[in-house]
Amino acid sequence: MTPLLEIRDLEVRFTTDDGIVRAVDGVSYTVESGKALGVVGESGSGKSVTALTAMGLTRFQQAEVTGEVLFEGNNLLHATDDEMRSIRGNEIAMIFQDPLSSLHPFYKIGRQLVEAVRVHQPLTKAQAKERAIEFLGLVGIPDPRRRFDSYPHEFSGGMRQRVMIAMALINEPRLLIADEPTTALDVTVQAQILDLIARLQNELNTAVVLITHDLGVVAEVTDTIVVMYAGRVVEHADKYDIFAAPEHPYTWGLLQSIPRLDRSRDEPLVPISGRPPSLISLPTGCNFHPRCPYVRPRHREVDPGLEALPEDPAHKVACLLDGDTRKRLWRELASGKPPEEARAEIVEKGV
Amino acid sequence: MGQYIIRRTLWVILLLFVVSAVTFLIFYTLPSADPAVLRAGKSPDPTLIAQIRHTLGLDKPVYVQYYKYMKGIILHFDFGYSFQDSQPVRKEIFSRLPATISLTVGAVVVWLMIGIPVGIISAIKRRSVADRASMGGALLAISAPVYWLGLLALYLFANDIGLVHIFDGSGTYTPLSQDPGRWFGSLILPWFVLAASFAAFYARLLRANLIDVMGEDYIRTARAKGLPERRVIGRHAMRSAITPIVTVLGLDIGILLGGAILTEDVFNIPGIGRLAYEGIINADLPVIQGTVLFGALFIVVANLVVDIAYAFLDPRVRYS
Amino acid sequence: MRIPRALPAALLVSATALAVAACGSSGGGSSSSTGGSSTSSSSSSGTTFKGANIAVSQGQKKGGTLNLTSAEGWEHLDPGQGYFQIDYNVIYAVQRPLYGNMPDNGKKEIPDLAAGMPTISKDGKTVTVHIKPNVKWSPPLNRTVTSDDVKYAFERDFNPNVPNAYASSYYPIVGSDKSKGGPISGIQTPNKTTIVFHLTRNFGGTFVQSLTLPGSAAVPREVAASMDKKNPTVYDSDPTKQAFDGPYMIQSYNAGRSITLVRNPNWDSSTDFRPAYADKIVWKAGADANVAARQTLDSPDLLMMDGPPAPVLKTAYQTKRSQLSVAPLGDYYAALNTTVPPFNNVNLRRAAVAAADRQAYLLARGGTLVGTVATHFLGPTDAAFNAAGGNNGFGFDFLKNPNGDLTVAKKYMKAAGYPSGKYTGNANVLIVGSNSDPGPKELQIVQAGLNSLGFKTTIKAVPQQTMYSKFCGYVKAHVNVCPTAGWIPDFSDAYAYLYVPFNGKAIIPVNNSNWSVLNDPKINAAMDQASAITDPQKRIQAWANVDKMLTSTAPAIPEIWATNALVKGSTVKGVLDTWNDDWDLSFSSPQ
Repeated sequence: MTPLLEIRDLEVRFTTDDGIVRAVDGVSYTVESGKALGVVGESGSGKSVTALTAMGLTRFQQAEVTGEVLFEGNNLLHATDDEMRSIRGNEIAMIFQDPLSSLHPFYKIGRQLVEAVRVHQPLTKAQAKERAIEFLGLVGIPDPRRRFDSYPHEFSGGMRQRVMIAMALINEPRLLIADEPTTALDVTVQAQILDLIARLQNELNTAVVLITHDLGVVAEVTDTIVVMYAGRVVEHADKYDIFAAPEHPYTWGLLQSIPRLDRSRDEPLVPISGRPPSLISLPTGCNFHPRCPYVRPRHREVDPGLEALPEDPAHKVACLLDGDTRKRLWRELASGKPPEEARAEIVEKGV
Repeated sequence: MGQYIIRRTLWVILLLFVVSAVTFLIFYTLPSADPAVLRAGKSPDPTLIAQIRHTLGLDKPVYVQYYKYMKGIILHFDFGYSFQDSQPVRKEIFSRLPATISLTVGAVVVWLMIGIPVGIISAIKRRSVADRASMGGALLAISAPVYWLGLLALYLFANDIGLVHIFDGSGTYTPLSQDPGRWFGSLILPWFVLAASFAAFYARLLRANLIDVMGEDYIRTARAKGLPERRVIGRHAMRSAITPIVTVLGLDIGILLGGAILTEDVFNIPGIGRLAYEGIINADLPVIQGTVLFGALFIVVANLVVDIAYAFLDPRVRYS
Repeated sequence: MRIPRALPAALLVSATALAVAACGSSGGGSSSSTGGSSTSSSSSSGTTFKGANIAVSQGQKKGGTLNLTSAEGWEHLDPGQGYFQIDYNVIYAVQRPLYGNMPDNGKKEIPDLAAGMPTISKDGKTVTVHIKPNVKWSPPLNRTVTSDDVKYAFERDFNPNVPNAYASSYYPIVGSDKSKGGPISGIQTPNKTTIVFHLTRNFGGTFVQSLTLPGSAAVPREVAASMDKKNPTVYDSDPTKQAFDGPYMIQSYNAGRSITLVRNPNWDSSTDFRPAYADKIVWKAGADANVAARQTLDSPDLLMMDGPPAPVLKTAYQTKRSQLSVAPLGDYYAALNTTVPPFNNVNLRRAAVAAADRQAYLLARGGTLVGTVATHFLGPTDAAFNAAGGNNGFGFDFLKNPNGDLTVAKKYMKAAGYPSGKYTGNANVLIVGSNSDPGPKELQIVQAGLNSLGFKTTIKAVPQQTMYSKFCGYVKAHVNVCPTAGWIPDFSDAYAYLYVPFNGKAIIPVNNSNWSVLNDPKINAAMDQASAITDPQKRIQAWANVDKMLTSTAPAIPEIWATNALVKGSTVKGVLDTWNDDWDLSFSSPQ
């Protein structure tokens, strides 16, 4: 069966005054119909640019794009602007991080919703309004008929994101891309929004790409997880495998930097040291090597490809450490050891 | 809102009082010339000067003069008489107002009609040849002195002294009420000359605003909704980019209604600007005072209108 | 007075009226430098370019509309208040003073409202004028003009609501100082056509000549009296409400913008020397001077009523000479303060005159189009000009060479007690002039002359207005040299030319116009005598002698006799009024 969305070897470059930014550097992933994919990474990892490119939105920034974005088998990179436009908001919809700045401040939300409906569906204004009110209700806006005439600034942050979601889903798209949908929200509201996305995913049978820097967020909603770093996919696996048997040192770092219920409270969270590399001048060899505690001289020269694990073809990783070492290291780390100690042990053993 | 307007109006009145007092003070502390001496002729015998001073009311203490002046305005809306040519200042201002309004309104239309499309195209086709050409042209238009531009326009296009005889030239202004056709014809060149630098400024301002706005998240949202680009720019981006322009426009109109001296001079349009200029040249206090007060009134009212308009333009703004 | 043209000049209008200066130095028309530099090459003080079309008869025809333009607007069209060239133009077309002059002869007054020349009593204190019995007021008044109308005109000249700039100088009528607009005891009207003026002193000969000023134009009491109670008088603020006895009436008036004159149906050409060719006169003011001048040159029918700016003047001189007219105006001189060292010494003054490069002044002002090098004070507009030696003057050696003569200058330095020919005293010469073109150049020229004689100098360039109010016209400022001063006489009598600038009795502490602060009892007395003479020929001779005394006393360096240039359209018949130095509305014709 053709996947709903398949991204193959996508590369996106922007030309700036400082040089060429390699925002996406050979990314591939797939989204199955009705399923949820989590894309995780720090800012600058290319996770949003990949999604925006799939939407055709990087066209407005004069991006240089190669590779393939197959939506139901059609390469969207070859679609005309008009074709893309009829797909956007209709087949593929997107919601963004900051609902306040993502809604037009000068227009009533009702108008913005009606506009979204009518650009794709031949409805009258009145029909579109009814539909908008229906969807405002669906996303849990109380008294939607009255709030139809409110301006964005008259809503709370969570309510605004609900409006954004209503606007994105109003044409019942096949795919919803949610780019950090909860980052700007209070923690209590975050969970409600994630529940809402999960619920609507089921009700409307919409596939979801959930982009976040927070592994904790994807844990609830998604089926599969893609971990990105510096424009590349470094690990791609089933949700349970990412949490139970992660293979990439970066994924380990991400996991260790989130609080977990199964650990004692006084155990310290370990942030990943260092900062993401500049996308203009990427490190040689493994992109992650400047921050990797387990780096070997060879890693600075050889560029690791994304390869499936021999024991599990659905679990792919891009790491030059050999499989046994990785498994041992993860065991050490999972038992609560700081990476330095784990590394020392491995290194002492002369691996 | 109502309360806000009342409060602002009170401020306007207070401000006008202050402006009038300051004008009076400046006139008396930094006199450009003694109006009585100006009028007294060649061998200004002191008794004649004293007599003229008395006739013009200049022999009273400054505060008495000010009091009488303000009393005249408040009780009779009387702005006094010109020292220079004995004309009632109110009559002079009102009879010159239509010319200034004609000039201003037409120029506004022209500069918006030029500035807005140029600004939009420049912003959309950023860094293109069209963008660079129009922004370069804009810089030229902003730096060109209006007086020079006016002469140039006349020497090129006026049907009396122009190289090619196309448009009515200087001194052809005819009131709208008298002959709409001639009114329009005579104002074409002045409109364009006055509008040139404004059109350039507005094009640059709109371009900058639009480029800013185009980077906003809600523009990305509009595109993500699948809206046609024309609508994204024409509605969503323009709606935001035009709002600050309305502010500037309001003030510019206010200022121009106070008189566009150079344009009025070159094209001999009998407007407020010339009146003000001559008042200053001739140390004609009542004329200076009257034109300054009207100019200030236009500006503060324009300011108020802009602020109120803002509440309608930007739903986030609320006055109380 | 008559005045300056062009905008900055307006500032000075009356105050510095005196100030030809105003006119000249502030770029009024002709003056500024650029226009002349090229045209001046042909200049020699003998031949002056006069331009064309100044003849009184040019085959004008009756009818049509005369179109006029100007940068300046009008100030006071009330005949009692008008004191500005531009205002005179209108007033002389709509009102009739007692005397006037033909456009081509500003030196000789001829009867206008008066029926003939006046009778002056032996003692010069009583002047009797008979007026024409058949001059009528315009509708709706329609009645005959009477001697009482003339009497009322003089009463209002002394009315505080009708501030008149010259009445107190030229009309020393018995009782006028106390009248405040009421009856004047010194004016009697024995019948409807006779008016008798009683003067406080022997001044009749001069008084008569001042009757060419608009202040003597009749004003009907029943029309004006109620208006004159207002401040300002409606006779001035709304001149369409005046009664007119001239060939034209003011049909509409927009201050500073436009005025329309139409024929006065009650005007009888047999009573008037004015031919009044045009049926209608439309005058638009407020034009930019550059634009108006070019419009005029490119048009068939326009007359420009104020002087064109230098660049346009230059073009006109080169390519459209037939549309350019030039007439004499007044004089420029560098006043030397006779009361403070070093120029309280007559020989040092003569040395300063001798050292001055007067030709350079002319070039700085614009060359031939703006005047000729002066050799004495009375200019070509004055009746006594020829008696005073005309262009050549009195032959004083210190004025012989227009480029300056150091040998002569040194001779006078020696006579003043400086045997080396160089000044060795410790006075520092303060020279103050206008900072607007060509003022700074003139300052430098006078400075160079003085430096060559060893004087230590300080120059100060200030705004024209300040120059008069704070320096040259402020006696206590003790300015040594005022090189950008100038004078335009109010009427063509030498009294108007020389009295205020050089008579000790005219000195006033502020707004003084005797910039030399000259108070020479002999000269004062000679002026008094000359102004009391009633016989024209004797007057002329007497004033020529005053001029000679003045020139010899050297209270100032005579710089140039100024001229004023005007432009007109290609086919309009423009007649220059040499008295008012402007196109004469009643003699010019559209075709």
